Amino acid sequence: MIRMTVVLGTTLFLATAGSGQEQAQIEVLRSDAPAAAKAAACRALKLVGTADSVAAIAPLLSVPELSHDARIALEAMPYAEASAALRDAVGTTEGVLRAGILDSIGQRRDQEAVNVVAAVLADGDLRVVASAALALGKIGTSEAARQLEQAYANAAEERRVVIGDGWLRCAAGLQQAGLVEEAAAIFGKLSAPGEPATVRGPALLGLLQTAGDKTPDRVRRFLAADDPMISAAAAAFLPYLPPTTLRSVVADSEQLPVASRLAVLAAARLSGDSAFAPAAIAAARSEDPVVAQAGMEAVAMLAGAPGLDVLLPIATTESPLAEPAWRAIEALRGAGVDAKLAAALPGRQDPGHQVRLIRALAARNASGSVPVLLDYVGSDHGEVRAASADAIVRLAMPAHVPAIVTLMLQTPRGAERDALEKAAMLALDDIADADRRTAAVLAGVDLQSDAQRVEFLPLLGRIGGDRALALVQAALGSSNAQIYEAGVRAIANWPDAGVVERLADLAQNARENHQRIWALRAMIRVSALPGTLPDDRKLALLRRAMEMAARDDERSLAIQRAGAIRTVESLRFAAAYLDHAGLAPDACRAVVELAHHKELRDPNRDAFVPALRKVIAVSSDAGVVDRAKRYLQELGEHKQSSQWGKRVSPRLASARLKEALLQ
Amino acid sequence: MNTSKLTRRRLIRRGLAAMAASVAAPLVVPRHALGRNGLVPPGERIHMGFTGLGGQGSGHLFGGAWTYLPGGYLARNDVQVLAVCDVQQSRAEDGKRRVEEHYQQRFGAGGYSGVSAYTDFRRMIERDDVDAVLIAASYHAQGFLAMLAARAGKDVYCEKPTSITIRWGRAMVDAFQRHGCIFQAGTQQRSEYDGKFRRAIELVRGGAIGTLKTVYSYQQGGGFSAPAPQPGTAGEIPPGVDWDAYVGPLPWFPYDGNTSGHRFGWGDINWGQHHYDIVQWGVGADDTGPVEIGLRDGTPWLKYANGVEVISGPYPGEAWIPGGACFVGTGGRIVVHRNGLTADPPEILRQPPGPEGNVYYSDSHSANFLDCVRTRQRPICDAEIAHRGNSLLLLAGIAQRLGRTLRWDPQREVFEGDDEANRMLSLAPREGWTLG
Repeated sequence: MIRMTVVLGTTLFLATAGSGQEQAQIEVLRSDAPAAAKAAACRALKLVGTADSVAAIAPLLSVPELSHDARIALEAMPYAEASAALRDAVGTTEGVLRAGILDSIGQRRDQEAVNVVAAVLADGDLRVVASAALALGKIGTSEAARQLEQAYANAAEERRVVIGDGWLRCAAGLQQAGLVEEAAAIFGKLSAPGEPATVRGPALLGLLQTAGDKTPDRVRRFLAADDPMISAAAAAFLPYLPPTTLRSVVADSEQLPVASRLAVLAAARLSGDSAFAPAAIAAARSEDPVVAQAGMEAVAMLAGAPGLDVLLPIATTESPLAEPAWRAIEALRGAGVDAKLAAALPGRQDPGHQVRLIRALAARNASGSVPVLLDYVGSDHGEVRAASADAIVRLAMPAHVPAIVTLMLQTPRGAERDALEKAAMLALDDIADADRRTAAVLAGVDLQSDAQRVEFLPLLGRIGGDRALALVQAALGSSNAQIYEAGVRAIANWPDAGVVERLADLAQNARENHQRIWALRAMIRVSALPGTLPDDRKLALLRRAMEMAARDDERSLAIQRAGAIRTVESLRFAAAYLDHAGLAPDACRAVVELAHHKELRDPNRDAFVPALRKVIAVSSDAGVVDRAKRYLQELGEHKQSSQWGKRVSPRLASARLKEALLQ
Repeated sequence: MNTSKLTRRRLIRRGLAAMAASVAAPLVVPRHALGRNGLVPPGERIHMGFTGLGGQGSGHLFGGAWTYLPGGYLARNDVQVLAVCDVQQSRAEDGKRRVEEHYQQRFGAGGYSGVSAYTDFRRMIERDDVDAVLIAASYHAQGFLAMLAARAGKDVYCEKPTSITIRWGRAMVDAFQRHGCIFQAGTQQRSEYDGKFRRAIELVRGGAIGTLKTVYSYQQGGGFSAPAPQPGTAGEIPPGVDWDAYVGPLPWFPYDGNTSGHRFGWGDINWGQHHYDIVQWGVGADDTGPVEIGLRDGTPWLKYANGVEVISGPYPGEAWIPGGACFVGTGGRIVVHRNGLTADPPEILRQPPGPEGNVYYSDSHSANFLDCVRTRQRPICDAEIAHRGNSLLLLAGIAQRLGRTLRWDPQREVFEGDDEANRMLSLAPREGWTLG
């Protein structure tokens, strides 16, 4: 009966409080219940146990298989009774169990336990010694420190490492408690040459932390030391120095050994204090390349626009430092950097330098440099053209669109022209209103020119909106074949489903066959776009497109787009083609795409399970099959208990699917 | 035991001497081949050990599709891999073989065998010649192993989550601060992804969205559930598996054939640290935490002393984003995730951030770690920062478990007047695994 009240595992581990529950767990502990039940009771009592439960838990501390669970409970309890039970258990245990109990005493910072714990610092088991030392360290009183010092003085080498660790921990506690002199004295002893390295390093750091008004001088001395442990401790302390102290250290850093100088430069860089800019600039000009690189990194964070005067000359050399200099330029912070960098571009004759400078502007998101970069799209040098076009794509803003469009007119078809168009489109994304987007484009175009209309109608089509539609409709009424075709292209680029009926009409009635195909494909594309149309209307449009399609290419596209309409009807639409040799691959992809959406998949399990099984049976795409298996598993169709892992025959899968689709 | 601390220069000499003795031809590493960008920092090579050679750990060591470092740490000229560790001996041995083959090929040193394989991390960090370790082990042990490494004087790159209880996390921080060791959490979003996250934080903290009011975090937090109690049942452990090392500080449970990295968690105790890390960065709370944690319609929220509220769900009316955060201020909002950085209004992204936006700059998480190993400075996501970000996950988890609003003191790291909640802050580690 008692056992029945115990829920094994994690539930009780995080149970909620209740005195009835506590009593039930105590009864388990006092019964002959199996160890697992008692362990679970301990874990429950961790959360709900009061001082009343301690007496039932305490005997388990010396039971090897339950000692840990007993500690889990007692360590968390804020009662003196729990502390007393742990202290008492030190004397009734040995070896690793005793070590664990000492750990819990330490974790509770039980000051009454100092003598009990100190008594086992001479234990024959090093694990016990280590736990005792660390426990005293966590208790962190003067008496604990005294006990540790005594044990340390008499210990053999191996024990000094673990006792020293505890003593160090104790010193840190004393320091936190305001007993700085006492702490400093311990750090002084543990930092002597010859002390264990794992103790000496932190003790040196402690000496710096407790230096008070001697800190600046001590930091400087440590940084200048030949002993790398001493200089490393000082380096590690730099991030914690007050700004004024760090400034005094930086001011004297040029004579330091290189490792310390690098540490000081890094600390200056990370401080973000522009007062360090002169030191950073001086280091960047150092003849030692390592110092120079560290200096440039600091310049990037501290020197602002004047930093370019240091970095650009280095970047435009053949030195190994050139690339680090460019990276520093890319990261250089401060007002006016972008403008100054862009202004430097016309002065560069070397195409390699031009390319690198353009890339740096792009990396900096220097949008203000677009007008300058536009001049380089027509460069004689291919890499300069490409770099500037790429940069403009990344940086262009709406205000730049007219200039970009104007330049497009002057740029031959090719990569740079495509990049300019892409840049314009991306920049136009920042304008919410379609007619304002159209206006931005038209500001750079003369629509009275037939040639320019042919060029720009497809771009206007991508933008959409009433103003663009009027221009496109006019083109579709034109007798000029080129303008008419540009109009078809434009409406085929349309960004929303507002023109779907016009596209349906063109899909059947456009002047040329290829134009009818463009229109049909566009109709399929816009039908399933998010927003605008209700889902049933979207699917109806796709069904209509399927009827209009003369080729599998367009049918495949329609099935693919069904994957974007998250309804069970779309699933049925796509799944109906899983048996069609030419359309099955896209149908499989659509089914798994729909199954990806848990909110659709889970409520429609009966439809998805057979469809996914069918996908596994017919698909030759390993990725699609994997996804189908995963979704089946998420639907509770376990590999071991179902057929799908074995790939059922397509016929059987079809039969099951049809049954499901009819539901 | 030799207790004299070897300097890094001495380590290099000793390491190279050892290598030279073990290979057919003398190994001379040209000065120009070392260090970032071909330059030689005075710290010379950093001797590293790697623990956890599953997908994440192998990716760090050898490189891979997801990694942030082409070719992994092994390809770096400023790192020498001395040791590998995995609780599965075959994995450890395979890792050793691959590292040795790499060095044989790279240095033309046939027969080189300077790498050791371990199954217990504690043995690996006993070595004096290992300067730093990368921990990509089981998430229930990672922070604990990091803490042990600090006490052994090692610098650590530690994958997330960096602890499974708040007290363990604090113990880890204390160990790194006390020992002056370097810690970098594997929260790579601070450095990687083309700087998108940094850019977002620069803008948020630089005032581009006005005063920050709310952050939508898309993560719900979670917690750790210890394995079910099965004391006294040792189970049969096959040869080649160091089950004791796998169980680590957890309560003992018998071998069950599963040495995977992600066990015993509920809710989001793993990936979420990436994203709460960015939330903390944006709020400017890297060294503190929220003061109140509660639930609204089952969704956790956390409030900071400055009034900023973090909601563990999506921005109203928008879909969940897998990761990332949406920062909402009085003048607009910024959404950042691994695949995008957007703003409303969009021109926010074109603004130069104000001076307050000058946050820590790092464009390579691993390089930042290694730089800091050399210079002894704080990496971009050091132990305190990692612990604070991870704490958000755990705090939200405790609030969910208790189903009530909790008051949190981020300085003392205790719940105010809530003994029941405070008991959830820790778990006594198993014997032999001392927290401290």
